[in-house]
Amino acid sequence: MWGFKQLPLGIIESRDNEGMEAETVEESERLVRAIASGDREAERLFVSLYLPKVKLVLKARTRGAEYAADLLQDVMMEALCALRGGQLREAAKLPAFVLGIARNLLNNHFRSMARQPAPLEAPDELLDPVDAAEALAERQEHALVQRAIAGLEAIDQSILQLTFSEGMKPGAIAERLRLNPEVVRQRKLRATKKLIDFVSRLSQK
Amino acid sequence: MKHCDGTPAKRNGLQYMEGTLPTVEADRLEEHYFSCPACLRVMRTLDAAAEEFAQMPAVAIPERRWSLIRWPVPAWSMAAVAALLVMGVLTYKRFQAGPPQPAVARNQAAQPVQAPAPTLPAAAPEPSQASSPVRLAQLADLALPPYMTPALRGERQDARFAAGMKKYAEGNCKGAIQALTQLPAEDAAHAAAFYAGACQMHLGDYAAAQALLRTVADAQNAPRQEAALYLLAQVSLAEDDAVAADGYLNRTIKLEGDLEARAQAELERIDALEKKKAATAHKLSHLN
Repeated sequence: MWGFKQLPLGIIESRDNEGMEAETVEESERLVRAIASGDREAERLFVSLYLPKVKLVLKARTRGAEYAADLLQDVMMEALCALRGGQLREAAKLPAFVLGIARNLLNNHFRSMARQPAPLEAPDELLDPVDAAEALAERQEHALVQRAIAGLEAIDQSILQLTFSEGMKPGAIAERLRLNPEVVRQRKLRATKKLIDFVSRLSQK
Repeated sequence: MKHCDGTPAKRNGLQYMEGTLPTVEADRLEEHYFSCPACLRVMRTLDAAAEEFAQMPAVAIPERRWSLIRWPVPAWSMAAVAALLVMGVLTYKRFQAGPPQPAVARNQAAQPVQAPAPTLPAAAPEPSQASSPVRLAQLADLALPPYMTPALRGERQDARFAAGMKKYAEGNCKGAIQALTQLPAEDAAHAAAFYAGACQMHLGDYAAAQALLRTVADAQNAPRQEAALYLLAQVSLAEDDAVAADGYLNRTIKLEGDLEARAQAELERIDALEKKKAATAHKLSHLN
């Protein structure tokens, strides 16, 4: 059995920094079993793997609202408590299980802004170290993205800024920047691809 | 997910972050990137980019002093320019022909003077006001879409494509089709297929138009995908196929682009027409 307590620290740290290695079904099963047996290292690993994913879902679905941070904590707590209680029967379905919890809490939130999920007992000092690792990974990602943005032409920067931060469509951007809408659409696609490829290339080095 | 290279996130990630991806596809993308490291990486990059752009200073509108025409040119201003040109030509011709003769003398000397005929053609009746049975085909807009030369750095135009588009701009559809359909599949494939399809539609060869436009409409992220879907809806209307037109218009709306409002309005017109047809059929069945 994969004992999380015996895992070399480096492995957990590398997972913390990346937070995105693919899990095999066996890994998921071990993780679920270890959390159910009270292994705190496994809990930390679980959070490092799923926190970035849940964060993305919540940010996208709430359009970056402030309450997304609170919901993130709630989702991770609820998922952990459920795993501790052995509520997940099929460990292979761990990703869908966590996503399901995130969607449920989001839907509850949207249905009634006043209704808050019941407070859950926080696992002791669990999220802080992971948060630190996640913050480091985010800082690295942002540094790469800043370099990628700096490499774009000014007009492409403007198009992406109006797209990302103001949610404008190509037609509206074209009007604002006095460009042809077709040019805006093509520039947006190319600039996004360039940005992703740049970050992907550098992060693999 | 070992073989995924991040394509699903590259294709739909931006729309997902913008909140414009249809719910079903957004759900699918989430389920995918929860298990796919490559797509998760792309999503994180897009998320970081969104945060970076949000912190950047506001966009300054670039000055384009070299350009007399500013895009987008409103349709009314183009119509006004065209009307002025026509008036100018007519006035010039009138001066060339000498002083105007009285209408009576020119045409019907023996008959009493009649009121002059209206200079503007009568507006086509709205489908809902027409007295004859209204057909879906009357809703179809089969005009050629305007061609705007893209000014993108690094994009070279194939000479044959440029020649075809010159003919297109002149309104020579047959010449444009001949030039554009000779282009190899990999060269400007979507653009050539789109404009050749538009020409076939304009000339009334709907089967050929559909075949060409579908190649653009079914290509993911093709620059003219939305316009191709819209034209396919027009072709379906011209063929009195409400179901197909409805499908293409809904796909146009889903893309949430510049033609969204137009497609929505057209759907409503089709709906109204179909209801009217049903009511007429109902009345007729009672009469019989």
